[in-house]
Amino acid sequence: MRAESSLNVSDASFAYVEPVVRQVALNVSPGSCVGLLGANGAGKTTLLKLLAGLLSPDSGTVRYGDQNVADLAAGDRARLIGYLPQRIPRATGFAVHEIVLMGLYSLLPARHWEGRSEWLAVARALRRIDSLHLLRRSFAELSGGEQRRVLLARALVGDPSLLLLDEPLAALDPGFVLDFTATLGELRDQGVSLVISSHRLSFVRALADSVVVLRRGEFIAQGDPGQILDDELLNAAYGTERFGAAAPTRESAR
Amino acid sequence: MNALATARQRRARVLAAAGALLGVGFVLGPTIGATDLDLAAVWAAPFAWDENPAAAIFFMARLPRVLLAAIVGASLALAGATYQSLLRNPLASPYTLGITAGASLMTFLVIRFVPAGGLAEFTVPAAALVGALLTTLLVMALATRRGGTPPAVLLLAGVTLNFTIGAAVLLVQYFADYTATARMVRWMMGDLEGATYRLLAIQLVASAPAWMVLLRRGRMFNLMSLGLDEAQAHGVDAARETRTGLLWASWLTGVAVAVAGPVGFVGILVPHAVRLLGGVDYRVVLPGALVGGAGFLVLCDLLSRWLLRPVELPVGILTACLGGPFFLILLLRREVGRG
Repeated sequence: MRAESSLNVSDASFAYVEPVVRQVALNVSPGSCVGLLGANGAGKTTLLKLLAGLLSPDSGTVRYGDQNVADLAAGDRARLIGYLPQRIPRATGFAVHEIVLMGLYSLLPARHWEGRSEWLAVARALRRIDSLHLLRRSFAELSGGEQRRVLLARALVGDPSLLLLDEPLAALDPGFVLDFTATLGELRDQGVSLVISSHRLSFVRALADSVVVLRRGEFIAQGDPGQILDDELLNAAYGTERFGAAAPTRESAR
Repeated sequence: MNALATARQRRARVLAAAGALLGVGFVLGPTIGATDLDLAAVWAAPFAWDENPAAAIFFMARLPRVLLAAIVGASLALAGATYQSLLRNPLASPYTLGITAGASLMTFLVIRFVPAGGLAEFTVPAAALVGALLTTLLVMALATRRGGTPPAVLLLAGVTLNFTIGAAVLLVQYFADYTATARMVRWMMGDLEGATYRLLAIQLVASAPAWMVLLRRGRMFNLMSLGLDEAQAHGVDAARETRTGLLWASWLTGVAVAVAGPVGFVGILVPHAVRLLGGVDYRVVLPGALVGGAGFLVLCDLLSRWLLRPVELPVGILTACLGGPFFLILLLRREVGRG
């Protein structure tokens, strides 16, 4: 199943207590990749949760095709959307393969014992992110980076047509980042839509067709990363004046 | 060891162990007790209860009690496992959410204000069940935020309500006369006395549907035990499932507590033991807790009748005596393992 519909956000706002996302509009067409940039607390995670249907907007809409994402049946939504949470769950006692299997939850009947086809899907997803060797390990005993890889495999295992990745690169080593960038590029070329929040500018530049820059819940810029990501915008987004200035040295950092 | 066996194999292993426990309980339960029983005498005229006291003890006094222990134990352990998944807390139990406190309060009010005898056989259990369910609804209402019910808030609401209801329980107890107070204290200890076949039938009819509802939710409980967002993102309607799970677990607790009183620790101890044996997958934990809980309470009841015979100890005292040390050992073992 590949995305044939666009994900469309129009005028969406959300507040926990204070407003976190304010009147944003966004379109993710099939097979495109949108990068979300913004300082800590800018609203990236909340926006992704709105896209994933984990939160419903207070006003405005998040639609997939002609349906409100929040109104989709939970199972339909899960089959459509792969979501990588930023926060790694405390999953004491589960083995890696059991965690990845959870990614198939909505595709299987309520009472189900995994069989050959599920094992193959799990192995394929883990191999795709170069982590098949972790298969039998205990999830809780992995390093932070390894845990995130496993969660990536879980997001991929059900072949979703829309992948929402919240800080997928946190704690990942640079070698893996390069491999993973290539893997995501392949998925995008196969027609999977991607929305990725990240603080790694080079990763976003390499992958995203368009970027959205968030500040305090509002979009301050939106467009082709090659064209709009200049020092001025980055300084505004991250509340600094250091982009474009001389790189900090050992002396200046002291 | 556990990682290499599939969940299905682990379930088979756990069910075999729990089934063996229950089997031993079923064999020993009706034969051992305050008075020695000659089995040959029982089978000489098994259904002539009026003439054969051995058969009367076996079939009328002990067997229903053993079966009641099995049903109550199964329900309490299964409910405990459910609370632990939905609250994401391995120590969660009906006590944590104030549900047994609610059952106690209603029961005590009935003991205090409704004259004993006559309808008391029905009013006390009914009060316990109503108390358990009302408390559950109240906890859920208190903890629901924007359509969701976060486990942390549930826990907080439950603990707070537990204290509040506890105060009311003390008040009712203080203003009760000595006879009523004695009945209250006795009820709090948890006991399986007075089992009849009619009661068994009611218990089974009331509990079995809830067992079915909860047992088929293993895969879902796995996701719920990771967190609401986790479950939601994978296609679980987390808000609805939290409500469903809590209500059915509280129904089971209420039905069990209605006849047996608040027998403690079964709901924590048994799921824990099952996890030690078969891992954390709820497809293993739920059926394991059901059968293991039955076996555990049958054996506890047996011990409570046998240890100080001819005195019969309320089974709740025994489970409490086992529960504390069990967790102490777990705690110490874990600390040693870390050091």
